[in-house]
Amino acid sequence: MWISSFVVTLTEDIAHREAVIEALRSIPSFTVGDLPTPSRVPVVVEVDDSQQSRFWYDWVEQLPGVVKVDVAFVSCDENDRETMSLADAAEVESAR
Amino acid sequence: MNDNSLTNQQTDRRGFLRATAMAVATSLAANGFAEEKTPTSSTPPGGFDLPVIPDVTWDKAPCRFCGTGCHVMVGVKDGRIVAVTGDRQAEVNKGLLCVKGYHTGLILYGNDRLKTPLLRKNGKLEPVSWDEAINVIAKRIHGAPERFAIYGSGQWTIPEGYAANKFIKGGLSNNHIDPNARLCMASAVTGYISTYGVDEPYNCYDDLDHCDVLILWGNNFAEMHPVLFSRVVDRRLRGEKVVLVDLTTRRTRTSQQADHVMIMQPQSDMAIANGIARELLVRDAWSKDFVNKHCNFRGPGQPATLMGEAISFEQYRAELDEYTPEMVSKLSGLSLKQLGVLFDLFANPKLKITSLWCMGMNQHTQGTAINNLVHGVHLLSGHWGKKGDGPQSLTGQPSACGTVREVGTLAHALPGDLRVDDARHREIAEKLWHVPAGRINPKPGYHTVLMWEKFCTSSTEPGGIDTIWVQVTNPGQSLPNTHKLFDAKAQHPEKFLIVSDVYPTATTELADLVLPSAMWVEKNGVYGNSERRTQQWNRMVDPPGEARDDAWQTIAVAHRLMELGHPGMNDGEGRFLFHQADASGSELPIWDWATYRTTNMDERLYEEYRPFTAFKHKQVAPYQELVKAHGLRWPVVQSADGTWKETRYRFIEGEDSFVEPRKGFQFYHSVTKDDKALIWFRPYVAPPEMPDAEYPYWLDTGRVLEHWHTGTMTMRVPQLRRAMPGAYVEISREDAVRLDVKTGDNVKLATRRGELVITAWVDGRASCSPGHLFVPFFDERKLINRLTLDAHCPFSKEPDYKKCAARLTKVT
Repeated sequence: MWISSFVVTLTEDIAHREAVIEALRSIPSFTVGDLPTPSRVPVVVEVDDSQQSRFWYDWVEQLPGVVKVDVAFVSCDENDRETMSLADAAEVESAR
Repeated sequence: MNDNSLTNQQTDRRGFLRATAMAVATSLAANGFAEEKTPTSSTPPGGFDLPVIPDVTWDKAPCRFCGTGCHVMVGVKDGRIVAVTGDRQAEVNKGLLCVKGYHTGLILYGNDRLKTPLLRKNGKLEPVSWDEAINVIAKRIHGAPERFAIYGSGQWTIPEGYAANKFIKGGLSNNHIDPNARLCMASAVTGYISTYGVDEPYNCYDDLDHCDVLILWGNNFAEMHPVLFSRVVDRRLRGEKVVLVDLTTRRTRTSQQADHVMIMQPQSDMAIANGIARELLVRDAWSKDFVNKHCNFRGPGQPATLMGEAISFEQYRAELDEYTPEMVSKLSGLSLKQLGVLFDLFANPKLKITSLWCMGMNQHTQGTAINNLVHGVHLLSGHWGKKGDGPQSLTGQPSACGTVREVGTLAHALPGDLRVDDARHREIAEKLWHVPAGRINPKPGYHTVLMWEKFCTSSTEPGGIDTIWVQVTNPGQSLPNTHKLFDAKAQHPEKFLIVSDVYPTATTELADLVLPSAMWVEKNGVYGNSERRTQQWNRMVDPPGEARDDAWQTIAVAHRLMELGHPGMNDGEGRFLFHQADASGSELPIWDWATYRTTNMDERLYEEYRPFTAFKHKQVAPYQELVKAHGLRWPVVQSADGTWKETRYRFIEGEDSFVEPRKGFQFYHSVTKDDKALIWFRPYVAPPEMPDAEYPYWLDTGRVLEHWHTGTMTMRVPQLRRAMPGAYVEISREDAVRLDVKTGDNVKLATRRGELVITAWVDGRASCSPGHLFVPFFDERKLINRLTLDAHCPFSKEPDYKKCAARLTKVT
C-alpha cells in the first residue's frame, strides 16, 4: 500500500483547468480534494506499490494544463518496502 | 487477533493515512509559497501540522539531493523510514518537495549497499575487518605522508569535512585535499572573492519572492532546482508579474515557462555581459551614485591574474568599446532585438532583477571571468543590494557551501575562508587546533585535476601522489577526461585507491580498499546550503551491516597513525589530535566505534570548527540553536536579549550586524580595503576547443531531474530508474534528418579523448539547436566523462564540462 499526496498546480486557462480536474477525478485510485485556490489541486494517490505511484505522478505531470506537481506526503508499509527491495535487486543486477 | 480484526485494522490505517495525506496536501495547496503564510526560522521543528501516524516518530532533515536545502520530515517506524513529507515550517520549501525528495527515503535501501570493508587481494575485493582496513590505511600513509591525498565532497557533512581537513592540514602538514565541488562551484568562489573579497552570496532565496525579472544564465532552473522554481511559478499564478529570461544554449523545461528564451552560442555569455555593460554606458543608464559610492574598476592585468589590477573608469569604458550590439550579436547568435531586451531591463532602475546561475557559468574555462562580469553588470546598473535585486549563484550539492567553502576543504584553504599561504591565517588555525606553530604547510595542495593527474602518472615523478582516499563521491564517473585522470590508475599497480562509499560505483571498480559508509539519517549531520543556511539533523536509523560514519573513519585512521608514531597526530600538548574528554576530564576513546556512536561527535567537531567562522564574519549558529531551527543563515549573531539572529542580506545596514552605523551599504571585506566592490572588465576569450571539420558538433553534458549526479543513489530507486533508465545523446531534428538517425538508434559519439556508443533521442526532453548535442552523466554504463575536456579556468581550476568538440555517426 502506497499512499502519497500531490499538489497539482494548474495554468490560468479555465478550460484546461476543468479538463485536468475531470481527468484526475476519472482515476479510481485518486481522491481529489476541495480546491482551496483555483490554481492548486490536492490529490491523494492510493496504489498497490511504489511503481504505480510514480507512474501516476508522471501521468499527472504530462497532462495539458498542469504547470507542475509538488510532492506533499509519501507513506509506504512494510510489504511495499520488500517489493521495492526485490525490484531494486533485479534492476541493479540486470544493469551491472 | 483474527483475520477480521486484522483487516479492519488495515482498513482503518489506510483511511487514516489517506486522510493525513489529504490534509497535508490541502493545506499546502491553500498556502503555496505565499509569503504571508511563511513560518520563520524560530518556529520550533515539528511544532504544528505534523502528520500523526501510530508508531511513527518524526524528525527533521535537509534533503540529501541538490544544493537547495529543502527540509523534509522523516517518519521512522521499527528502525526504518516509512514516510516522508515536506517540512512546512522550512522557509526554503515550505512543505513542498520535488520528485527527488519524494524518493529520498528510499536511497538507503538499495540491495547492494556496501556493508563490510573490502580489500583487493589478488585482483579481487575481499571482506576484511575494520581493524585490518584501518591498519592498511595508516601504514600506507605513514610510509609517505606527503604522497597522500584526500578527495572529498560537497556531500560531506560539515563535521566530516572538518575532520578530514584537520587530519591532513593540521596533522599531516599536507594540503593535498580537494573536493568534488571543485568541479561544480569553484568559479563562483573565485568570482565572489575577486568581486567583494569574501566568498558566498550576500543575498538569499528571498530574492525569488521579490524580483520583477529573473535572468537565468545557463541555468536549467526548473529541473535542477525545482522547488525554488516553484516559488516563482507560484508568484505568477497569484497574478504577480515576474519576467523570466532564459539565457541558454538549449531549450529545456525552464524555457517552457520563460517569457524570453535566448539561445546563445557556448561561451558567448562573456560577450553578452560585456555588451550589457557597454550599452549601460552608451545610454548613460549606469548607476552613477551607487558606483561612485561603492565600486572600483578592475582589469585582468598582464598576464591576467585572479585579483588583476586597478583601472580607471575611462579605461573600463575603452575596454568595453568593441562589444557593440552587432559584435555581441555575431558572437552570441542572439538577435539585436533580444539583446535590446536585456539592455532595456538592466537600464531600468525601477525593476528588481535577480540573476541566477549554476554549472553553466561555473563549469567554464573562463568561469571566474564570467562570474565577475555578471556581478559587474549588476553593480554597474545599481541592481544590487535590494530585495530581489542582485546576482546569486546556486550550488548543485547539499553542502558545497557549508563543507567546502566554509570549512575550507579546498587545497588552498583553511576553515572560515582562511588560507594556507597566509602566515596570519595559519597562526590562527594552529592556535585553534592546539598544534605547534609551523605545523600547517604554507604551500597550497593539488587542486582536483592536478591531484588526479599526479595519481595517474608514475610514482617515480617528483611530487607524485601514491595514495588517495575518496569519501562521498564518485570520481571514476564524474572527473573530466576520465581515461586520463582516473582510468590510467589501472596502469600503475603501485598506486593505492581507498574509497568510502555506500554503494559500488565506477570508482570502487578500481579501488584497492572499499570502506562501507553510513549515509544521511543513518548518522548525525550538518549541511550548509546555497543561501548560507546551516542545517542540522539527528541520526534516525542504524546503518546496515558494518557501515560506519566517514568522520569516524578519519579519526580512527588518525589514531592508528598516532600509535604508529606519526608526530602530527599529537597536538601541541602531546594529546591525540582529535582529543575529546568526558565530563570528568578523562579522554574519550572516540576512535573506538562504540564510543563514537554514543558521543555526539558532530556537535563536538562542529563547536570546535565554529570559532573559525568569526574571522570573516561568517559566524555560524551554535549547534543547539541549529537543533531548534530549520536552518539559520550566517552570520548568526546573538542579540542583547540572548536570542540568535540570522542574516538574510550581508553588507546592508539594518540586515547585517557588521555594517557600521550610517554606512547604509558596506562591502566590509573589500579587496581594495575601502568598503567597495570591484566592477571587472574581462575580455571575451574563445573556448579552448571548438567544433571543426573533424569534430563538427558542440557537446554539452549535465544532469536530469530524476537523477542525482552520477546516479549512485538514484539509479537504485526503481521508480527513478524506470523514469530515466539510461543516458542518451540529445540531437536536433535537423541533424537527425541529415544523419538519418531516429530516436532509439545507436550512434557513435567521439571526441579527441574517447568515444561512446549511445542511444539517440531526437529533440530529447529538451531541445538542442542544430550542431549541438547533450548527454547526461548519471549513467555508469555510459561514461560520458571519458569524452569531456579537462581544460579548466586558470583561477578557479574548475573544468569545463559544457563545451567541447564532438563527432556523431550512426552505428549501422
